[in-house]
Amino acid sequence: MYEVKILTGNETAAYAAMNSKVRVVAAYPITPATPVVETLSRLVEDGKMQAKFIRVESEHSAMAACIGASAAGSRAFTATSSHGLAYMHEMLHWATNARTPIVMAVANRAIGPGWNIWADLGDALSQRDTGWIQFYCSSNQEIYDTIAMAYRLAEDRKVLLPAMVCYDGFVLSHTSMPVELTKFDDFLSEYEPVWQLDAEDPFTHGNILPPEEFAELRHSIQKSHDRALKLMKKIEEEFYELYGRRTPLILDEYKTEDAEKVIVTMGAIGSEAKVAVDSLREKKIKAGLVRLKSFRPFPEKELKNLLEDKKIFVFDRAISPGSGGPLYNELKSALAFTPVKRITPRIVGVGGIDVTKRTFERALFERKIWIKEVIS
Amino acid sequence: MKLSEMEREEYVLPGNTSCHGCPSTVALRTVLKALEGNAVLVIPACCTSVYMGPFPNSAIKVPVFNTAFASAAATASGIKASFEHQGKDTEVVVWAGDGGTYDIGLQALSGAAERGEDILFICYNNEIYSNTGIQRSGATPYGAWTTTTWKGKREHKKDVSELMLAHGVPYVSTASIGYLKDLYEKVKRAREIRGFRYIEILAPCPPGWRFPMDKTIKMGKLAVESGMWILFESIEGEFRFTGVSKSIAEGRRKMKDLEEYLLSQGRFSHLTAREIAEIKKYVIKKWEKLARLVEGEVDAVTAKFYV
Amino acid sequence: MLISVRFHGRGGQGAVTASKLLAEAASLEGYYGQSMPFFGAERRGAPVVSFTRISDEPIYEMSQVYHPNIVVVLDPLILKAVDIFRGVKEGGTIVVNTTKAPDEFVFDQDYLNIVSVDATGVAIKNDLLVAGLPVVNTPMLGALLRADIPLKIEVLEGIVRKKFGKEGKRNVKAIKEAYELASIKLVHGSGKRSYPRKKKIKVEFPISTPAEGVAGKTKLWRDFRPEIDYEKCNDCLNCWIHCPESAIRLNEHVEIDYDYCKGCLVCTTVCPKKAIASEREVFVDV
Repeated sequence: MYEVKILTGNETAAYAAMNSKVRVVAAYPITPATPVVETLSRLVEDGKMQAKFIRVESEHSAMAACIGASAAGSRAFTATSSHGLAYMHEMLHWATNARTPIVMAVANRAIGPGWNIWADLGDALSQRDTGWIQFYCSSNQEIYDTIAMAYRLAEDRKVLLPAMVCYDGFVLSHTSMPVELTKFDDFLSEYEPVWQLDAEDPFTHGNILPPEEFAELRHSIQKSHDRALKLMKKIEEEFYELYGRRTPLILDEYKTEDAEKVIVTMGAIGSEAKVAVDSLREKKIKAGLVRLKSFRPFPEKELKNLLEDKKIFVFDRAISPGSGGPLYNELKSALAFTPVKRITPRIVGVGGIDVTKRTFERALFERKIWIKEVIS
Repeated sequence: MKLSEMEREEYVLPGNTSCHGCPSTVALRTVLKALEGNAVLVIPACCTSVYMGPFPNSAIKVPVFNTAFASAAATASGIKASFEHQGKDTEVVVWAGDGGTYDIGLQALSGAAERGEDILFICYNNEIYSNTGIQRSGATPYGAWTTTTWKGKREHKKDVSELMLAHGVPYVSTASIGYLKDLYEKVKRAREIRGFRYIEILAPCPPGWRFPMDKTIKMGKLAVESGMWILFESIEGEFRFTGVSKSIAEGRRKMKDLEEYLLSQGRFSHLTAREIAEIKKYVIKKWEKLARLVEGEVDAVTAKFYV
Repeated sequence: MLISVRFHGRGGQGAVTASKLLAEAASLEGYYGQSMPFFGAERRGAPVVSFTRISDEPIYEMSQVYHPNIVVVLDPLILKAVDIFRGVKEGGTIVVNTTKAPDEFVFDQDYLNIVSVDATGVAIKNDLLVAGLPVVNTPMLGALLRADIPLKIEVLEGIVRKKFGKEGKRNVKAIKEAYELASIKLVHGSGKRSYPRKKKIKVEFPISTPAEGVAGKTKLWRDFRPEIDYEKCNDCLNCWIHCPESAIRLNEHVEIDYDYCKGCLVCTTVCPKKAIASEREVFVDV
């Protein structure tokens, strides 16, 4: 058994980075992700973590430095949230086309104005087209495991894409719970880059890419996402065999087999939804849950298999104004031409409104799309 | 040093896509010779990102990492951190234009300088966004025509080399493509120093400044001879003028008439006497300001050449 | 009626402007005009393509022109770098800036009209130079009017006068001179059309390897040719270190690499012995 510590989500992310043998960290403080930076800083200064820590002057520079470090052959890590993530946007695209397998922790939070520091997945969901792999976690142990698994996936020769590991701001980032601090020695070795900057090897990275070659690169990135889905299953299995923990990468299902009404959601509220399912079942309502873990790549086939004959309620903790819930819209298009009976959107928890099991129960029977209050 | 003692290997290969008489290629050639090719270049959006040519080939024969416009110094910091962790002693050099230094790149530059990153940041300053078609930058001098200041820029330039002096970094110098030996030697000296180092090279751009393509080098000399561009070097806080600027500062050489410099460029051809006087005033002030940095020579000896 | 025109030039020669002026002239004559530049690496000297469509009906095509009626070649040397005849319709017209005669051109079509004119000569004569390089777009528009195109020279002159302000007069003069100078001739080709296929490259990483000639043999960018007088040369190496193109090689003596020299003539101005002279480049093999 490994050491078990009571840690917040943010501290967990920092320990995961340390045990994932991260060698360069570049980060900038932002609520509610700041404690990741603080913890990493302490781990490095105390000599517990063998890494260079660059205290950059902005998130744009944080990602730029991670890209540089990764290109030079080091496993790189950063953490951010909300405005910081938005500020990085340009470099997120850069990391993808550059093929630098960086992993980043994102404590999901709303974007202002007005200033709102609370949970909302809109910050990461609005980065969905950057080419990053995106995981949404629902517990601290999951954050811990997923960071190591994300490196395995991202650095695979068949993938070579950056990945973000997201978790709800405050709800997970500042909530303490036990985390088993597994050392990943059998699972994740030191980073072995496929290519790296080297004074002896004078290649040029990222010069002009004419239209047809650019399309080739973009197509190869799409293919990498497809391959990532297949690889996720393998990594899940391997991880389970090594450590005895089922940490899903694609999705987590709960009592869906005989369910009539299925809740589909992501992040911490996916954990709360489990409680709601049990409560509904006690009331003789055949409820089930699919908690989507990987939003990018979007596991269309896996979702279809689980949901094609169900009544579906999609709970989004985010809004894409002018369109609706991002998860709802993606799922709707994935389930087109299947015999799905009904797919109903719900917008909950925006701007940090607390989401309870009663929120789910109520939402299943009310006709309102938006729930803008705490149902306690 | 004699020209024959310079590195003979070429690191900027012929047949690239630079304009006729490009000042940036001349400067980069010289810099890479001085580094003997032992460097990783980080290049933000600028003319060099274009003239190195398209995939699958490149005109630059040292490792190059292209990065986004705002992020050169930050990307270089990341590369250096990785090299340091791996125990590699590779020099990481940023090669940026004035846009990627003065304007959009300034925040990352200032951050890296303050952190004391062990990198060499080189700005080739052509005083415009020439890559996008000659727009005004923070380095464009007062009065200059650009495609975003059709009647001449109304503001004076800022000076990032002075800003770097204010950051207190161990090495700051200016150079001009008119004096390549001087540039070569400055790069060599910068290489001997650890920590954040900054070199700014004046790079007169024929299409951007509107002068004939064969006059690139001459213009680089004239800028210095007329006092408009000042050569200096500051090592560990010890400031000194260098080359022609030193001779001027010590009163051993007369400055050439500033008008000769200005009026040989199309971008200044519309200047009125009042505007020329305004530029002269700015140049005198700058000389006085820098002269005060020379230890033991507090007198601003230069001003008298203008007044 | 749909006339589609493809302009070939090198950055700085004004191909994009010419394409736009042509569309403007067509609009003034009551037609629908469209001008579409293709931007590659925007560098003075690099090959540039631009397209113009003229029609009596609204134009909805937004793609590039692949089968032009008319091709305008601002720079004869571009023939070395790109296939200017590619896709040109049978019986179409090539308007080319050259000192050669029309029937010296070889192509795959059965027959084409060739309009030849020494636009560089006209530009130099009328002092149409930017940063020392001749700008030939307005004289080429003059020569273009020799092709089957429903535009009056007065309309073109009016637009050019408006566009170029102070320099309008010289440009109008150049248009007239080029129009007078240009000759049109029906020329037979081989009639054997070939359709070369581009080989696809797999791109997984945006990584490139160093090579000379990323822009091809850049000698084709050369309007002026430097010549070293070895009687006067003392191998001081000033030309070598100041060459923006790395095109001066160090062999037994300094040697200009004429495959890559773009003819910027910086070497002529830095030579302390004045041992490098220049003359207008003439490529005998083009």
